[in-house]
Amino acid sequence: MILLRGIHLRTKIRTEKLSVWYGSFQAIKDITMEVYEKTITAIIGPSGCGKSTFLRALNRMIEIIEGARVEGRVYLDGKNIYDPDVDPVDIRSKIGMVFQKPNPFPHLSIYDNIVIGLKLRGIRDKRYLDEIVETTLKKVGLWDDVKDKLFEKGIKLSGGQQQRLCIARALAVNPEVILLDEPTSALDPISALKIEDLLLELKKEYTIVLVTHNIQQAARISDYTAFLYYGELIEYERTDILFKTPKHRITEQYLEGRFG
Amino acid sequence: MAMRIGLEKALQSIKEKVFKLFDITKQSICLSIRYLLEEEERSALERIKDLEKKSDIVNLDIQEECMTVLVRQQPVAKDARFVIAIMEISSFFERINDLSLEVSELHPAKIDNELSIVRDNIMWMIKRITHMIDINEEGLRTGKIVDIDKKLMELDDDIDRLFEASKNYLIEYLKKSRENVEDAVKLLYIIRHLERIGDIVAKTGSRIIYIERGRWVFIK
Repeated sequence: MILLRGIHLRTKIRTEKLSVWYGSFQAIKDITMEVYEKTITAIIGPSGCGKSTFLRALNRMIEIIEGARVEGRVYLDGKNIYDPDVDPVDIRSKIGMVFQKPNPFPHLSIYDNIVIGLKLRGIRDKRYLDEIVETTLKKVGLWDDVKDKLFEKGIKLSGGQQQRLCIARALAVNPEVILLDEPTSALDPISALKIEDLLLELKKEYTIVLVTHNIQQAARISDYTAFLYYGELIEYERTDILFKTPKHRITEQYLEGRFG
Repeated sequence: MAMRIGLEKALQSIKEKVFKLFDITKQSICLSIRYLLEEEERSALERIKDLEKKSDIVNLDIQEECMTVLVRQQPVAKDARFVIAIMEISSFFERINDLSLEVSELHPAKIDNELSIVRDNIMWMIKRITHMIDINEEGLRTGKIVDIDKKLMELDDDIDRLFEASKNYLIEYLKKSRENVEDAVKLLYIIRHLERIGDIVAKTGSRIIYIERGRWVFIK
């Protein structure tokens, strides 16, 4: 147990000596760290440092990349998600993911974009699906904007709205953790701020891990920040501490914008 | 917006701590003077030392919170002015608490009747200083700063006049008196400290004006 602003935090995810290879190239090197429940953890670092690879290893998305190999362990609530008896599909519903570019299914309506995951699992109860659509759209602050056009294509929405829709899609399968890979980098500043606000709201219910290039974004919304450099975890600390007094010179130089 | 709410909460927390620091400072100044004028027990000195320590802690808390807001929220415009000005104001008041402790440590053995005029002037100086702190507090709390510079300048001028009058009186006293010289010198230091405190409290007003209007004024 660890304390943050007087609240005891429980470990939700723990990586232990996590390494990822693409062929002979080691993209992630022996990372051991803990992600705490109902917090936002930001992963920062220069391009090519392994942020996205690390994120994808947290829900076994890395396995779909040809040539990728994982060593070490990733525990979700104490259970190693790489154990042979664990179904990766189950894991990906518990640990949802949102990508950099909003990617609603272009041929599907707003409604179907949200319930697609549930339908693929065989859930057909319309009343239940309606309820999920309304609840998730309300959670992401999109309900009022789209309630009268639920059966129009999701692709017709603005960029910021599409990203909210993608978050709603991730929430629909009732995940415990949401992984976001630079979710605002393709958005205008106002839409980006709205997504940041949304994440602050969502962390009341979900554990969030956020990869971001935007240092200020990490500073504004995350509780913990991990700094990666050439696949190594250089520093992992409470965000306020890391941004005020980083322990490593390389972290300091990165935060100061001396490289990136 | 939630982001804004987070910033508002952080700024309000800093503001509350500044008010706490103002309160500690007023307590310390009043107690040190009551102690000097022998209306308080010797234990008052320990209480003043405690207040000084408290002021150090509150000041550090304020500096730390301001730093956190700067690096995490990147405030701009009035919010940025607030954070920058508060860091200074907090340091000012921590310094006032140091001076207040020094005043109480200059406890004179006795203030004889011939020096009672200085004693009265000290009382008037303290009244003005606490009034100036109240004016600053009101300005910071409400954002209403009409004539705050004028009011603070008048009170600071009063303090300066009381200082000059007391200093001149003490110099004359020292010229003719061969007894009680040490106590008279201590009183000289005390009024000098109080005059300095007055200057610092007046300067605080200029920072509050800066927060509200975004321009610097000199209050001296």
